[in-house]
Amino acid sequence: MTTLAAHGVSIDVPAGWEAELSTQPDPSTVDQTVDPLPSPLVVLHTANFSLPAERDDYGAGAVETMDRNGIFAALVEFGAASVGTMLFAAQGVPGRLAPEDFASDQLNVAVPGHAGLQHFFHVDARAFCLYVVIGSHSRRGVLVPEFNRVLSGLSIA
Amino acid sequence: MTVVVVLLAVAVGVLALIVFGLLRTHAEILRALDRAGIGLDEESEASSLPSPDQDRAGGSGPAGRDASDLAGTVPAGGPTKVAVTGVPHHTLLAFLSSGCRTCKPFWQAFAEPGVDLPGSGTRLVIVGQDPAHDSESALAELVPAGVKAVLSSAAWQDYDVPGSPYFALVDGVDGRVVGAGSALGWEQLRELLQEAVDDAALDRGTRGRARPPAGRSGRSRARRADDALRSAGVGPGHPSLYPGGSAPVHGNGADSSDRRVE
Repeated sequence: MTTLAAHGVSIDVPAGWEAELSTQPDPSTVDQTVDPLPSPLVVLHTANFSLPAERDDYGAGAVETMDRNGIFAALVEFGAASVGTMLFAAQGVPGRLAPEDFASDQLNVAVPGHAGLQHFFHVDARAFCLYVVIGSHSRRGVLVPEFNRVLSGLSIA
Repeated sequence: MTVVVVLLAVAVGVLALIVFGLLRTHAEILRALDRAGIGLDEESEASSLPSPDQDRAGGSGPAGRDASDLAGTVPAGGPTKVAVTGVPHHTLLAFLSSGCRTCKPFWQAFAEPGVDLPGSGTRLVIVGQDPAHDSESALAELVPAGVKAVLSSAAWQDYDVPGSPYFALVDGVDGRVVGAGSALGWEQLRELLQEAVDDAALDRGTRGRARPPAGRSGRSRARRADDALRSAGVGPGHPSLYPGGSAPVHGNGADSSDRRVE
């Protein structure tokens, strides 16, 4: 088990899984009229397959490569202004996800057979979206519990 | 006259001692460089590097040892973990540095689209040293687009990397290093690693698992060995093949494609 931690986000990565913690570009570096971010916004990717070097925040470039047993998850942080909005009203990292909540219309990249879930929440003054894709909707009863074990190792300070 | 001859003899003796001392010092320097694994030209440099052929599975080198996953940072990025064990494919770990001259051909080879990697569904991962030991910005610039890279001095220690360039091919299913070593060029390295993969497949084949690809099987390898033996004058029934006794009564005892010499 390897633990990755940066910017208050920590995850235990089990054997056979990969993960990468990065930060989103600060818009003020390209637009002088925008105020700099008080702290970097985090993007965490984890998957039970090889993460390609190039992919976008919500996994485009990665989810297309996974097979029916694949699981991909992205934790994307939003600006502090999102905290307190209805979308991010849920509090805390979800303890477990329900297989029945996964659906094909939740996908960012539509791939036949895939199913996804988006969960928005906040932790203190930080807002997040947890986006999970599984390689087979019909195997959600197996894949989602497997991801829940990884989710139990995710913590946000 | 006698005095002149004596003086000349003494001078010659002193000069001989000086030359002897210089030669000895030179030899000691060469031995010290050799012990340090440093060659004086490209050919001796190549011969000083461990090759995958020397270190393949079953040898005394790193090949055959347990592999370990990589934990480090992405060049100009954040922390990452790369899985090389418990995965259904090979991973070629390329330990490269930003400043090493002999790494340059490999940086160029890996930038080529569709580079032909040895092994099954092989994934290329470039492993650099921590930012404290190499230039992170230079490495970020050198890593070709689309190639996974991680900076991890811990990985260099885990894989006993003697210096760059160095390569380790990991079988993700077995979780073991199939071949490891270095070379001066990509084509040479690829060929040596491919042979290491074939040997590992052959080893698995003897245990009832995967077989090596056609043309690289143990039978074709045995045929090549037989040809080499014949060209050296060692044919069927040659006494050197049976140091402990006489040749077997039946069949062609020297043909290793049909029989194994005990």
